[in-house]
Amino acid sequence: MWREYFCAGTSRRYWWRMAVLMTLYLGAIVLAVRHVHAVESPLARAAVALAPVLPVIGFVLLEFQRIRVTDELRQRIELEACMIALAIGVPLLLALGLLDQAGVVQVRMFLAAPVLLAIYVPAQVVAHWRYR
Amino acid sequence: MNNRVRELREAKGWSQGDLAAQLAVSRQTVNAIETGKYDPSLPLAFRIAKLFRKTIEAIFDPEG
Repeated sequence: MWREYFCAGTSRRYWWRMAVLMTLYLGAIVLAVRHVHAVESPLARAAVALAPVLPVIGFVLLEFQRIRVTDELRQRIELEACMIALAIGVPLLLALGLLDQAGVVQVRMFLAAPVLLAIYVPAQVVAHWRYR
Repeated sequence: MNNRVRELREAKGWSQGDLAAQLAVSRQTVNAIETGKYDPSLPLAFRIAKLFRKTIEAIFDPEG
C-alpha cells in the first residue's frame, strides 16, 4: 500500500529530477544562510537570499506534473490533502502572526513554508487513509 | 453508491490488480470503488461498463 502511495505517478526521470532539485536546493540554502551577509550589494544579497526559491518552484512544477498523470482517486486524495493542509495551516499561521504582532511570541516568517509542508505531508496520509 | 464491481470482477477470476491494469487506474482506486468509498467519474464508469459488457445502471445503483 505505501509503495503504491509513494510511487504513484513517478518514474525514473521524476526521481532524477527530484535528486537534482534537492541538490540545488540544499546548495542554495547553504549559500543563502551562510554567505548572504558577505555580499555587499543589496541587489546581489537579495538574489542570494532568494536562491532557494527557484528549486522550490521546480519541486512544485514537478509535483504538478506527477499529479497530472496519476489516476482520478489519487488526484482527489491530493486535493483533499491540500484542503486539510490549508484548513489547518492558514489559521495556525494567522494565529502565530497575530501572537507575534502582540509580542506574545516571536515567530520568523521563514518558518511559514516549512510549517505548511509539515502539515501537508500528514494531511496526505490522512486523505490516503480515508480511501484505503 | 452500491455497485457490482467486485462481483463481476470475481466472476471473471480477476484480481483487483488485474482489473486496475485493464482500467488504467491504481489498485487502490478499484478497491475504493468496490468498497463504496469512492464513486468513479463518468468516463471511468463507462470504461468499467464496457469492460464487463454491461450498462452503467446494471453495475452501479444510485439509490444505494
